[in-house]
Amino acid sequence: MGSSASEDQIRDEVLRLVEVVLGRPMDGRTVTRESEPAWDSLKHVELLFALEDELQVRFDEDELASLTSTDAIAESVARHRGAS
Amino acid sequence: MWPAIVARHDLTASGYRFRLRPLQVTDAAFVVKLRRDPTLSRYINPTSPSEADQRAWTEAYLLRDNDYCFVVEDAVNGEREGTISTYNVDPVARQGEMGRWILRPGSFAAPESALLAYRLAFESLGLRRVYCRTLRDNEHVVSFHRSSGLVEAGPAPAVVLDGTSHEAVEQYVTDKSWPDVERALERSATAAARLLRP
Repeated sequence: MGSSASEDQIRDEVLRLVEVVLGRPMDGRTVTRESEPAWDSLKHVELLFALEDELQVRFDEDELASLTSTDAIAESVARHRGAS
Repeated sequence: MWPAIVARHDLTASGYRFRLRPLQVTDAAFVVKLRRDPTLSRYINPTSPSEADQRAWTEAYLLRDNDYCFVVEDAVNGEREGTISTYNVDPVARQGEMGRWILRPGSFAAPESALLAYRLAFESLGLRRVYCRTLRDNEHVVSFHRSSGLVEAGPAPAVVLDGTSHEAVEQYVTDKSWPDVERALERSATAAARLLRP
């Protein structure tokens, strides 16, 4: 089953912000902290902060530690927006 | 005049969300558990599972005057997040090494713990240069130091772990570049505190 247009849009927005914060284009549509050396602890904080600001969401403190991939972030953003 | 470097195991520092306090013998169980966490131990020297060994290590450390170990704590809930140290302090060259930096998985204390450790090194210990030696394979930490504004000095002495030699890299910050590094870490530490909002 394919994802909805809004989910794809969120995924694209997340990926775009990842590219902005990490300062370079990403190879695929799914990026994880583990697979991306530049996604360090400093950039991770900056990324989550930028995501909250740009995408108008507030992550729960309990979920912050699990937001370690573009997929996980996009799912969280969709959930917070009530889009999923 | 710069502050004399003497045995000072009473240094503390507080930030936006986290704080550093001196390592104590009573932290032995926490340190052993942290350093033996399989997700964290990949890039560090092996740690004895014995709390008694860790207590003995801490007692010996407290006698050294060129070594400053801190526990990183969450200032809101008092929980221990990890450890960070400035050691191999050379009072003549006025430089020291930052390391033994281990934070629990999922911690957001990295930017602020580094910020506070550097601040103590430059402003309380009067150092002119702080360097970090990291295994080159530990890419996220090498990247963290680069993102903070540290400069790569080149290869550091190789490190042998489990009988295998690993390349290491040295990155450093000087008292001249410290304001820029401080700004970068401040920005991230502030963001972390706002994300965690108590």
